[in-house]
Amino acid sequence: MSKPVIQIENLVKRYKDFIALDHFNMEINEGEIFGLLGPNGSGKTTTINCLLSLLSFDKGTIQVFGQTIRPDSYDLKRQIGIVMQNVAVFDTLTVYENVDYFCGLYVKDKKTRRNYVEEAISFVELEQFQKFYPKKLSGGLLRRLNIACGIAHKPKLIILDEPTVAVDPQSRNKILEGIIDLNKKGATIIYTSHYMEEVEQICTRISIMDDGKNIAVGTSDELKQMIKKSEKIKIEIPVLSEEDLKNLRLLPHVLHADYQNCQLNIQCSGGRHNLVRILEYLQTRSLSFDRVYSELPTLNDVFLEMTGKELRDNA
Amino acid sequence: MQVFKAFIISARKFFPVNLMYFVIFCVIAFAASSSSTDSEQSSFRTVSLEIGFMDQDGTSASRALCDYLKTLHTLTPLAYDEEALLDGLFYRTIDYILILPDGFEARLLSGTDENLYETVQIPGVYSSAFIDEQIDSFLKAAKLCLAGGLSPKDAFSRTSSALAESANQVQIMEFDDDSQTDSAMTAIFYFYQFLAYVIISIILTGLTPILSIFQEENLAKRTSCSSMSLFQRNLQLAFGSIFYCLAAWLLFIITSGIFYGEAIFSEKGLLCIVNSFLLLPLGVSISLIIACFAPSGNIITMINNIVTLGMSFLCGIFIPQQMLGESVLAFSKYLPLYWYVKNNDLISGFGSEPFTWPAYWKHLGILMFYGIAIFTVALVVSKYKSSRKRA
Amino acid sequence: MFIHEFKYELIRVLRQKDELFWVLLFPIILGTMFYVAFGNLNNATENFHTIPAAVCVEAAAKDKSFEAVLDILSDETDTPLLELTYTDWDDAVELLKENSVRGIFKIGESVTLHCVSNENANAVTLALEQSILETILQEYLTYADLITEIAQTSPDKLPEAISKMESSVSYKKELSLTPGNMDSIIQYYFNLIAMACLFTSFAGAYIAMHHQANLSPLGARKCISPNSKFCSVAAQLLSCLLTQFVCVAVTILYLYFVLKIDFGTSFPMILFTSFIGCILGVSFGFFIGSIGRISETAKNGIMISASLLCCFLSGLMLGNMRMIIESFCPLINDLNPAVLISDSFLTLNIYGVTERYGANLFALLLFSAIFTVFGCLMIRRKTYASL
Repeated sequence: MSKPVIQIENLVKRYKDFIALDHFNMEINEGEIFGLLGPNGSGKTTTINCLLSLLSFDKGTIQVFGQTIRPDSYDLKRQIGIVMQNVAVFDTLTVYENVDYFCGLYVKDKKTRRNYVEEAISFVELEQFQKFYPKKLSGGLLRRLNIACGIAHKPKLIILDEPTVAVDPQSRNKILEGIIDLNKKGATIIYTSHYMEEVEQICTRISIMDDGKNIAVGTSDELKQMIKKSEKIKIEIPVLSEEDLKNLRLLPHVLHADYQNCQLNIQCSGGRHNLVRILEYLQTRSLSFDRVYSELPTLNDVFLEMTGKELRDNA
Repeated sequence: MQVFKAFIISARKFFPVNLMYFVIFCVIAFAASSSSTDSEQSSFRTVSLEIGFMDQDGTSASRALCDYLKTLHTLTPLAYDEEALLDGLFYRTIDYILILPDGFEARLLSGTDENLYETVQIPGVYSSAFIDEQIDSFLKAAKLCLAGGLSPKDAFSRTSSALAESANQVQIMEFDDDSQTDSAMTAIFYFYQFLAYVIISIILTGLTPILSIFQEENLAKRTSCSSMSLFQRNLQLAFGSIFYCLAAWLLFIITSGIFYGEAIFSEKGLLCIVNSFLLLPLGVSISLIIACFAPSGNIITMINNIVTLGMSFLCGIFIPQQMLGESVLAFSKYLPLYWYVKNNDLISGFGSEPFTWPAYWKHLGILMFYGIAIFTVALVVSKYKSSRKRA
Repeated sequence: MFIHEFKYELIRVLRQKDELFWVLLFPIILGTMFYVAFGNLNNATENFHTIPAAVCVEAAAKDKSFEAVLDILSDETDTPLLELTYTDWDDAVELLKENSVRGIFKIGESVTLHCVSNENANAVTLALEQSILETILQEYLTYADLITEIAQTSPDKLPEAISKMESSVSYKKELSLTPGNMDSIIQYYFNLIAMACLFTSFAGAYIAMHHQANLSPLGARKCISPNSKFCSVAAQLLSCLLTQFVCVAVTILYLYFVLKIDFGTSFPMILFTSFIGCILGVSFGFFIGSIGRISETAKNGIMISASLLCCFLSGLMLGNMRMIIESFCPLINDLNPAVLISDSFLTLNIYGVTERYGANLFALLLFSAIFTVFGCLMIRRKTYASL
């Protein structure tokens, strides 16, 4: 049984009248890549700032590696690497110098530090850009520099707060692969994002936050099972009578079915062999059909169903 | 009017800072104008200077000399405190230190000429040479009387009376009653003289940061993508700026009205107000140029100070124009504030020129011309900068 | 850790070339402008130059001797005291009106001097020149009066009396109390250096703002590193002090060696004093920078206003401002850092290293200590209510 790296219990944080975190709970175990999902303003960054003791909070406890973290718990901080949402690097220092500066805040020994810095730079593949100033870097490269600055000192716990905002797909893939790589080398990772695919791709466990609350925790599959709709089936059929549609709706596990523009859309709840059953029905009725699509639910569906579909940036 | 609107909204954010600048510059303007009037109100025809004296002799001769000097100057007995003496001399609160050493009378009577009295003074300046001259003439006259056979006591009193008789031979010619100024007006003229520094400063420190927001790279790019021409945009910015400056200027005028009362609205006061109004386009256009280079906050501060302080010194705001050298003035003629100060001198009669309307309008015109010219340069610079970015 | 922070702060500052450029250039340009503006100041106001006067001899003139006196005074080879224009009354009045002469000597039945009114405060020079003209006339009349009297009462003493008059010995002995530079213009340069010192506050404020999580992302990043804030702040302040001092020192070098301003004291002492000034500037900025949630604009505004006001009160713009304040509220001067800095230079110039100099430095260091301690208290490691 792996021990918890982070334990957050009943965390409450208020900004005057606005409640940013409302009795928030979270537990992260060693070796996990823990995804923190949530719409803008749901409290992801606030949670992380509380975790790092940057923010004071009103209630609750936070334990990191089994200890309460305080502004001067230097030993704990030494084991944490952070990649913040806002790129925090010095414009006046080169790529190498920036990484060296931040690594130097953790690692005193010069030789070790040089190795670490070089490793970090090659890890984010910025070797060619070592002498560049941040202003000359493209958005993706800048994000990668930001990451290198956060992880150069080989922390045991790495917190990445939306590290892939405004990054092109190639760079993004590289970053994600890197994160998995870091995890394999033994780091526990907290990853916040609102890109579902990313989280689905790399995270071993996911928590969905909304309004400062943790509304669901589990692996990607577990989460998907929590929602009603599972399978979405689309079939192109030139002709379909009203009666057939009614019969289709009566099949087991079918939640909803409609027919529009020569396309039959059916949503099914859990259960197996839904597609087979539908196709069998169509065959018995000798209805000809063209293409068939079957979509399993994505995390996106889970997210939208759980947090509601309306726009959320009013916080 | 989108740019204008955005300008006003941005300006509102800077309001507290600008209010602070306003208060500080108000303090500077009023303190400066009242200090200047305090310092040298010479209503005597002959300049009266501050003499610190030490009479170590205490004889009738030394007393006679001191009494004579007292009729001409302000005499303050001094204790021998070296620091106080030097400070006084350094800051010109004392113009001259006179020491009449022990044995002054004895030596005068015995006819010794050298080292009769001791002085501490700033070498080579008018005021001290002037007092030297007066003391020497007293001593010469006294020696003359003594040589003429008068007893020491009679000699000193005769000297004093002879000097008194021949005094006040100056007849004042009055050319123009208007050139007389009362002290209330003098304070106002000093206020306006300083206002040039203050207005330009508050415009530069307050306005440049707002304007440089609009020059920020991304924002500038975005605006230049819109259907608005660069000229339109700059024009609206200029309007916004003038609006801002007008507010600042009005506040100063109102404050000065409260401070000085209705004298501010006398004919001469109004002339000064019109004159100071022309500082606004000037300040705005300078500010636009500085903002074109969109430097960071600290750099703006330093450039502002170079421009305001430098121009104020060279154009005669801090030091009267008459006291600046010919070569300096020849150079400052090319600076706009020179003409502002010249006009202020013209109205107040501080300068050597008598007031004439054509001269007044001419100076106003030059000031106006500078405002427009610098604004044009600002437009060209901003055009050049935007075209260079495209290249 | 200390060296690490020190090194990178140094690199950071040196790389900000445009900012460094202006920090360096700003006092140098102003210094040059002062130099230009003041270059002729003493010549124009206080030093001797020839006074133009008109002479108008009327037909009724009996007294030829005054003319002779005037001729002597205008005929010295070196710099004559007077420059005379002989003309008729109307022209003379015209000349006076346009200010090309300072006075008219009208020699008629008696001798009179005619001048314009000099009641304007600004016309000090004019008044002095008129006074000199008046003195010339007065001396003449006095001696004429006395000699006539002696000629009547005791003619035998007359030759001796006249010989007294002709002797042109100087009766005075000039004392000098200091080897320093008594030229009061030097204080403008002192105030300029004080201003440069106070402007180092911007650099100090930058450091404070980059150590606070609620003021900048870099501040937040720094807060979560496992190091004592005090160590990092101390290293950066020291590094900043060093670079700022070098900038101020370059200015002083320029004033001293290029413009040849006579500071009246040894060069190392001037540098040392300005170093103390920089300490004050940096710590003041650090203090302002660490004040809670005021925006950067507001902080810059406070520093600009404070520096300008202090310098104004210390006489940067009007030389006599400081003495005026000294006369009615000396406490302001005792608390004004610009006065403390410029007065330290002044004290060095005139008296050398004295108790007063020490007291100034002590006050400066005390203020610096207070600013630094309060600054540190405000940015010490803490959690923030919001970011």
